[in-house]
Amino acid sequence: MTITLNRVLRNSLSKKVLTAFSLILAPVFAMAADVVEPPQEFNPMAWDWSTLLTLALMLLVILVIARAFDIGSLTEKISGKRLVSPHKINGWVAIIFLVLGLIGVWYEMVYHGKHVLLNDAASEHGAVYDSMFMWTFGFTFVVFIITEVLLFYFMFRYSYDENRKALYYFHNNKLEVIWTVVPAIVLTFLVLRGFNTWSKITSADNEDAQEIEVFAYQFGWKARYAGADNKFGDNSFTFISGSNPLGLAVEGSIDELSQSLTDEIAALEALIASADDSAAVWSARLKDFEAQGRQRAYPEAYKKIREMAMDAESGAYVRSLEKEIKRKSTNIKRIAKFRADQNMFNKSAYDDKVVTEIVLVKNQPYVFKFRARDVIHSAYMPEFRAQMNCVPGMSTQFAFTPIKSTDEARAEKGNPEYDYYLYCNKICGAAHYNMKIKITVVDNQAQYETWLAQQAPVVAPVEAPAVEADPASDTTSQATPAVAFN
Amino acid sequence: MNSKKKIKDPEPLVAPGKFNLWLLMLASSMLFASLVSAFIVHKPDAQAKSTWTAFDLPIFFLVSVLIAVISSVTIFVAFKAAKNDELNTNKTFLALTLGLGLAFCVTQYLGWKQLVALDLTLVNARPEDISASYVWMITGVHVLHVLGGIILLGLALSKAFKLEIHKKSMTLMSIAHTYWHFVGLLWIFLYLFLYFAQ
Amino acid sequence: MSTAALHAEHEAHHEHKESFISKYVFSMDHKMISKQFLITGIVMGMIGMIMSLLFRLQLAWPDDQFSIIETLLGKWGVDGKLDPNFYMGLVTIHGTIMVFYVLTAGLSGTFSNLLIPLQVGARDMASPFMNMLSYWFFFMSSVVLLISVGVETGPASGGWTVYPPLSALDKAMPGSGLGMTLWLVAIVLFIVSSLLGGINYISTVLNQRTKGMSMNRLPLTIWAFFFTAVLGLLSFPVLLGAGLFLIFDRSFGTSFYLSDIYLEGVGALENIGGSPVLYQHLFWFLGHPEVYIILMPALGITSEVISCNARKPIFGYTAMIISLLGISFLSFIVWGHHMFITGMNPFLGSVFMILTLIIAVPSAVKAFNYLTTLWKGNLRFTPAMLFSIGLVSFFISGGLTGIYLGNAALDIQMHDSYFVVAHFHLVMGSAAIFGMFAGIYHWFPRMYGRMMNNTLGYFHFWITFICAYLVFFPMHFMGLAGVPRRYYQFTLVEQFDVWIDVNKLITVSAIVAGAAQLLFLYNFFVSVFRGKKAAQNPWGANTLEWSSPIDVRLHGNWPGDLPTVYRGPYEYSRPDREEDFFPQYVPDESAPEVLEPEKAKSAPAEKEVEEESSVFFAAIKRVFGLG
Repeated sequence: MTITLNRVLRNSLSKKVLTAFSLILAPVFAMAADVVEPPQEFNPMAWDWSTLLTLALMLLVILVIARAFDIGSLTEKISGKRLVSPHKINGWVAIIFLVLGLIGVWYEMVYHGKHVLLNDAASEHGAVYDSMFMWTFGFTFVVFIITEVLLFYFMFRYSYDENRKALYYFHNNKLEVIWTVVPAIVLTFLVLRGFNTWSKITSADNEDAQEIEVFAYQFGWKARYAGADNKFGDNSFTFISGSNPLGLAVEGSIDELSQSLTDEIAALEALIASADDSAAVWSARLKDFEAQGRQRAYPEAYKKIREMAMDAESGAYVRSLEKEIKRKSTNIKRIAKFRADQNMFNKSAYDDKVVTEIVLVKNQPYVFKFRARDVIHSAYMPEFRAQMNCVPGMSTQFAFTPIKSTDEARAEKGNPEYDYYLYCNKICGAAHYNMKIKITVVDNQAQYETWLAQQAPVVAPVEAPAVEADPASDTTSQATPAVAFN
Repeated sequence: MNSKKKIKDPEPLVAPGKFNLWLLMLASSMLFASLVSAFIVHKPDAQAKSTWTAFDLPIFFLVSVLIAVISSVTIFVAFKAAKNDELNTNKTFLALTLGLGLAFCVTQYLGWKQLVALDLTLVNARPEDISASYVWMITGVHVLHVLGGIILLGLALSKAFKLEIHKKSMTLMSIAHTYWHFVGLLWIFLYLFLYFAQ
Repeated sequence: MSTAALHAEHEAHHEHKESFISKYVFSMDHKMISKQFLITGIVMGMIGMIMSLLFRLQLAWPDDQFSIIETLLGKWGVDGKLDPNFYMGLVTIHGTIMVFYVLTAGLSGTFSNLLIPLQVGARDMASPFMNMLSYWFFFMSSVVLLISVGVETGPASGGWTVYPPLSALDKAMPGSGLGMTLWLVAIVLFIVSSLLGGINYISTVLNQRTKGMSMNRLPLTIWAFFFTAVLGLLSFPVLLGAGLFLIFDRSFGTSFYLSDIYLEGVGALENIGGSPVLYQHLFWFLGHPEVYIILMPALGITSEVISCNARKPIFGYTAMIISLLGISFLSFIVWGHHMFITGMNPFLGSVFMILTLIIAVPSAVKAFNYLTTLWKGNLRFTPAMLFSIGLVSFFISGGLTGIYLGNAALDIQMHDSYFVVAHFHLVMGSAAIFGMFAGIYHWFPRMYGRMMNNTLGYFHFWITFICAYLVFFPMHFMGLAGVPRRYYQFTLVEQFDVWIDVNKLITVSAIVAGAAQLLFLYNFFVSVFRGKKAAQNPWGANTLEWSSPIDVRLHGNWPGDLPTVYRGPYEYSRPDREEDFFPQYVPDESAPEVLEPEKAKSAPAEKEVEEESSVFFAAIKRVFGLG
């Protein structure tokens, strides 16, 4: 039997299309070449000619192959004999692809591999991590090379031949068992090792670890150190205000917030009271606008006025105000409830230090406690092999010990500007890409303490200790402590 | 070519409509499984934040259980009757089931009213209402399923009045029958779940 | 619709001419519906691809201006600079379109519809009406999604996974307003479409097979579509549940996912007690099976195409089915590997890690079986065959990186980095789209009765294949260097500077790959109308679809009786036969094979059929091929 392959190519069709295709591709290549080295003016000497030339060559090759195909099929059609088998050609292309591909893989590993953060970890568990990685890499790379080489070699070796018949080979239980069991064994090994690594990382010994709170918000990070008392002050999202971005239990700032919320509610209520008037005003304005026929000239303004008038008319405006009032009064109520809780307001937040740079001491274990204010963020510290999501309403943590100071890393990279950063790694809004905080690892405790001393506490310490000793005058003298955040 | 000989395809073993119904019921079971497992997963989490309070389910939901049981019996009788060509019994019991289905919706409505009276609305700033929100979601989605069942029953009843349901034409009847048992059982399960899981 | 009714209709066709509407628009013929799915899928795919090119331009040349961006996007691309909000929108909609509209509906919708009735020997789907509804729900869903791109506040922009609270709060980002509402509407419509389709696929495979077509004679395509449909049926309702909670949180103010939130410019919100992680659990319970919903039809198509074009039986038919079954089953219990770093219990993380890595075993079996099928074959490189081999290559390279990501410990560093982007674009994106191309090139004659041009197909393949590797291979290295995904630009940290060149290479390759798709589009649409007329069985394939006349459009598929199946689908190059194929529907004159036992056919009494319990057992029997 003869297999009716689509042997006879429609000669004119493929030629036309390939020409059109190259016409489309040419500007792309040109653009690519152009943008790599953007020329200031028309100066062909400045162009990246080697790239252009390579691309032009590629195009030429495509066209030549296409011609070969077309001529071949045409000749075949005329002579009725097969001159060039597309199967053989594809087999050859497969081998060429394989060779170039392997070179490409090798090139990538050499050229880009050096930028990859491997055997380069700046944290204690990083070494464990990297060795886990290398084991996995070893196994998968061997499998990758073997299977891909076989795949393309088979393409070349067994390309179609009319005089040959394929092997009628349905199954072979022994073979199938082998390649079920061998991967299973390898994976068992990887799973056990992975399990080990994972437990080591997640159950890091926290006995003498120092806690640092990392706080994420759209779009930035803040870190909090516990201060002299080594205790973090309590916090709640209901306490957050412009002057208290972390929502710490600081009486003065919270009372201020309550007061300003109460004022805002009063203002909103006043707006509601005058809502009827404002509805009248807006509809009058709308009528004026329409009467003067200015809709055409100022479509944007017209749209806005009409929206306002319609909202006022339908009561949507009042409803939105009422919703705001409800939200704010809920906030006040919650604050009041917390305010009654003396444990929460034990002033341990006062000496906390809120900072915009994380400073760590080399070889000191740390536990990072993560908190988010608005949406989910993720604290990603690639050099330390550390990452954890920051979820609003949920506390997460990650523990590690830095082992390489910033200075050492700089020396190693040969880059005096090099710095560790903590990035956001969970999509969180438009400025997601710009959400980072610097991490500095210092060599010794003294450097860290010097730095910490320079940071202002949340509430400046009260000057006269006598006042604190006298509980009777406490409430009066305390007034509203100034809240100082950086 | 067709005129030459009559084509006789082998009949599928199961009526396609009924097979599809089983699959549909499987899919909606998964929907309820997701709601119920969300409830289970969320509960300890919310309890830790003390934003979860158990409350007594409205007594009308229990009445709904009763109605579900009774209507399962009536639809079964209607189904058997249709199979034995007792068309009048079939009609009567179909109508009865339809009536009970509507009664089921009424009891659900009364149950919701009871919840509202207890200030356990779907949306409220009160944190303990997260448990209530789940009760509303689960009962709401279930009532939508019941409404689907009522439409099926209505179709079956109108067919029954046109004498199109009998021993030889049972597909719609048996679909309505199966589906009605499904929503009934589902409600009994959901009631027990909400009763004990809180 | 019952088969009898179908017959009436089928016979009626010979006398009445169908109206345009019933033939091309509200058609209930599975072949027409599959074409509708395909064309919609191709259109959505082009849109998704153009979106990816737009944001690739931004990533490669963040400081340059492109007038095309302003022309296409208007206020989102003032001065040819892509707006960061819209960048997020493009990323999100690109993901949504590719995952749901192209690779779920476009791939599985097209080929399940085309092949299930044809390859099991049925007149049409179990319920042609539901099938039509399925397409039109999908169509509406696509329209709603495209509309959402044009709304004033921009499309949904929280990533295709739309994690709350970002997606639940319209004040958190502009895209979470109307755009997100429309996204949810589109997805709900999509779920309905998917369920209607899936129910039909399962029901047809189990219940409508022709005489002699026992389960162990089904082509692997059908097995793959069957498992896919089961996965969809069980997982999409869960996404519906997750979506319902999200809709309620957004529109009615409940607190299922929201807790302790303070928004800049708004203040502290009222919601407390919700759990954002709950959404991730529900989402990924769908999301992981979804990966296999995308990939398995492509694997099924590959099995068929490779076997047919290697002129060799597929190696390890049973092993292939068992590994599909294993993958399907495991896919339901591994969703946690998307959440290793959400602060989940480390013990739970270990469990998910173990389960996840087990998936590598059935996947490895599949890859080795494909290789062995090629070994000592007689490989005919049609474009379909090339795309199938390309799929195997991607499946291996992308699958191997899954072993890194499934490892909870390694995931700490790689989570949400470019390594993940590389991994899933290779194993699920490129592999599945190659499966789709393979399917299109292979079954084009079956769909349109004409052939596509091979030379253009070769160029389409090689350019796309090389460019896909050029795009995704370097991304592994970026990921390993700690470059996070979904970043609008990488110019803000000095460490990322080394990747500027790589980003340019990736973008140029992506544009070239995009241009190569024009070759495909041209080839496709011209061949529909002007392609060479195809022979009845142009590839010399064994399966039933080539026994139904391909030159006339026939609702009911076979003019006479349904074909009878005499053997399995992969009898290629049998030593005892001169031809190198032996179709399933051709009786063997020399040694008439014994048909499967007739006991099930001894028409069960009607009373029995009506019993629910017996219906259930009958269904079970059919599932296991006992009936």
